[in-house]
Amino acid sequence: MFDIYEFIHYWREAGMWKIIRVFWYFMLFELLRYVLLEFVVLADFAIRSRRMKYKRELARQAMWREMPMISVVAPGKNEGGNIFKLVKSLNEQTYTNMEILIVDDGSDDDTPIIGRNLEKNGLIDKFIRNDMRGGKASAANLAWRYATGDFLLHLDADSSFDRDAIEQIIIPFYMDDTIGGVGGNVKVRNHEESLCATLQAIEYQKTISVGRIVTSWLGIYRIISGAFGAFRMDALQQVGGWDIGPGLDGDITVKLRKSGYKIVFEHRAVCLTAAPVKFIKLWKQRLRWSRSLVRFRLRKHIDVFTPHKGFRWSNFIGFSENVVYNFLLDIKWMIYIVDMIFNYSAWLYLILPFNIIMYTLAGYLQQIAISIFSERRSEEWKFFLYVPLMVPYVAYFLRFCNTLAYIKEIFFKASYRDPWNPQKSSYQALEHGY
Amino acid sequence: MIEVKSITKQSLIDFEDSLFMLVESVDKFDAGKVLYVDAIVVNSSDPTDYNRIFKAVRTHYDPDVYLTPIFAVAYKALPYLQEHACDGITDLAKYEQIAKRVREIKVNVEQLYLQQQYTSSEEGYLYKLLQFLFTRDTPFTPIPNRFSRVNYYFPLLTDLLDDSEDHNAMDILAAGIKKGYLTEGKMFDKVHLCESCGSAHHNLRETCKSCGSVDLEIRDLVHHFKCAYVGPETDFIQEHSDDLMCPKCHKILRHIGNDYDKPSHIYVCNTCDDPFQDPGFTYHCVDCRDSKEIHHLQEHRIKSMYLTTKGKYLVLNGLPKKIERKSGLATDVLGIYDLDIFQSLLKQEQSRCSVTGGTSVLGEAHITDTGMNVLSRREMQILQGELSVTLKTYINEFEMVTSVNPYCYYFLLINPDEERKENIKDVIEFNLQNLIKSNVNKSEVVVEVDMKPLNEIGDDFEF
Repeated sequence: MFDIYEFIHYWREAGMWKIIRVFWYFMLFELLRYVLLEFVVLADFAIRSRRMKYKRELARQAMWREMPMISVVAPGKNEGGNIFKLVKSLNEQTYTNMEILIVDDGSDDDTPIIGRNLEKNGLIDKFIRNDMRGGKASAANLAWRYATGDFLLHLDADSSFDRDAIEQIIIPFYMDDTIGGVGGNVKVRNHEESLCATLQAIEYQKTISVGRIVTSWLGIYRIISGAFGAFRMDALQQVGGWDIGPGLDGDITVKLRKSGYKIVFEHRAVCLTAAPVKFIKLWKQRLRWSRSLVRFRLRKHIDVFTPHKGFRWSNFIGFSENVVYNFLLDIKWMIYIVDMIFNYSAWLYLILPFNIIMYTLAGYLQQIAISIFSERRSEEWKFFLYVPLMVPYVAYFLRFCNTLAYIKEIFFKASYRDPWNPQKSSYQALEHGY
Repeated sequence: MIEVKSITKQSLIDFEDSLFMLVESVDKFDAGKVLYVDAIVVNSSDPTDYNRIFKAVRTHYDPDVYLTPIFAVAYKALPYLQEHACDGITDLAKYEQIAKRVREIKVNVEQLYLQQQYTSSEEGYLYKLLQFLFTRDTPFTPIPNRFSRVNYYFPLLTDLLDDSEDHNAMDILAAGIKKGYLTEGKMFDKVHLCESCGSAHHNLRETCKSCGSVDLEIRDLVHHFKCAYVGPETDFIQEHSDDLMCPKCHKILRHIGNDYDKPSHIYVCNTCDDPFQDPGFTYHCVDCRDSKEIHHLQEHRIKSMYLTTKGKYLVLNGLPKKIERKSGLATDVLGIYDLDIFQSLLKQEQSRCSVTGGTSVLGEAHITDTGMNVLSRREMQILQGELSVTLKTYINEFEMVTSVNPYCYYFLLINPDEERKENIKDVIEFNLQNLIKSNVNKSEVVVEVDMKPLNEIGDDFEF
């Protein structure tokens, strides 16, 4: 039976060093990186944002003066049911000088009929269909080939957007000519559908809405989400568009960074997307996402870690942070668990609750930070209720999923057998070591 | 035995009791003289000869001329149209078969009511067609004809209309169906006519949706698996080599299906450079030179057609209004009215129903009986009178009956319920059938009753 008095007494008597010894994993890595560092950076961001306001307003005016053509591209398979909703959302945008290109990557449902109809009725500018599926990268490249804009906006067909999202995502290009890509702020639209979706909504807020403000501010932002990202057309030209996925959005971001372009995150450009509502579907999605860390960070772009002509410290630090906090910490987590079991097995009944309390408190601190920067804080207050559940979700569900994905990719190259990509492309990628 | 009366370009041949005009040259052909013969035999392999003879004969004002059967002498080279547009094919030495056919047509022509007046030329054409079908006793079958503006020859109608009015034949046939004189048979083709001039002669073209140009080029899209580049084949073609080279990774494409494929194609407009996969489709009319999107083409179904009982009665007795005065309707019986009065009362009841939500119905009793054709006109009138009185006994006192002809009766039921409608239908079908069978020898009568709610009947309902 758990005794609360024993619990309080034990930790009061333990002292600071023992707490650090027992919770070294949390103290050294998670608290330092995800609470302290983030709070410092966010504070700096908030202060400098006010100073940047004037510069941003000038950029906004420059954009409206120039009115660049934006090519909005949405490649996908069997997305017919989402295209009309997407178009409706785009028609509501404050920025209107855009062309909409939908690429159908070998759909076997009504997508071609819906797409052709929308094109015929002038709701989209081009509907291009590949009768044979080629994979997301090839569909994106096909759209890019026929896009005529100055900037290309890559979207997922199941996304919808705040009215000023396109305007907001383009403004950073007018603040700095060396910016090659801008990532949008992706949030979960269907967070009320299930617990699974709600937990993802909170996770997206932490890792995208706030997490990417931090990485962007530090100059190590490394992934423009495929759901909502904008690219300078000449930058895309320089890197040759997208390469074979999965994980092509992270890959193209790295290619742009390696080519010398800056990549920034724009938290004001908000896009809502549909998240998996069942844990089994989420599991499969995360396996795919996590495999790409090994495939692209540790294989394809391993040169980022080695001195060469195009070496940049920001890429090195960004990659290192990514590898350490996503890959190595998972391994360290396993070591930590073993350490606890062997050295503190008699006290686990007191350690585990304390651990949960610490993670929950840290989670609440992060949620407060999220709330400060969120434009939807009145809608998102209920997420506070779910913060305690984030501990098992992140610490166990996602960690096990990620670890399994890393192992499968390192030892079995599982991403090359992922049906998400057609076999013909995966075979070539494997053959040429991509 | 064949007896040739004169050796000229238009020899007269007397075979048994029929006189044939053998036409070998159309130059001296005089349609007026056809009045004195029973049939025409055209001895020519030139299609234009037939066309001129058809035109001259069928457009003649006299029924004894325009209904004259025309036969062709068998030639190997005789085109399909002429072979099928004639009443038959014959051999110059064998007239037995066509003589029999001529006699059948002649008997039918003699039964026709020939004093009909028309209010429009279209009505006249329709009437002529009905006469023609009655005398031939064959289904109306359009014949493919590449020289027609609508790609079809419509027996008699095409000859009556000017070349530029070919499409009006379909309107005349539609009017015949609407009025109940013709019924549709098997559909065997469709024609698509220009919205502006009614011609079926047009070129279909793929066009650029942006500028309307027909100068398009279609290009294969090539997908290079290795680097995921996708673009038109022209992106991969090199100036000084036959190899296909990927513009992104500069690899040579070697083997389709192995390192690249062609997942789709794309059109490029040579005028405005716009790329698209779904071109516009337009037609360009050869006759009026109009260009429009193909959905503007008017689709018409080509079907065989048959003369209905109503149509037969018309050609035997003239239009209904002519015979009302002589109809056998017992208008002295309360509730039996002439067609005009019935129509007025029907309209009044329609108005009442639309205001009060009434559920009155118009019933139609239709009789099909080949045995009745042998009755004289007077006998027909008596039968019509008896049937209308009998019909009146099955409905209420305040309800009414009329008859268009001895084959067709209408009755108005005021707000009947479903059960009463069913009962009346059964009683009328059973009793009228028995009544006719007991009055007409060799009768194979079929009585069909159909009922329509008044709110489903338009103002232009044709009796």
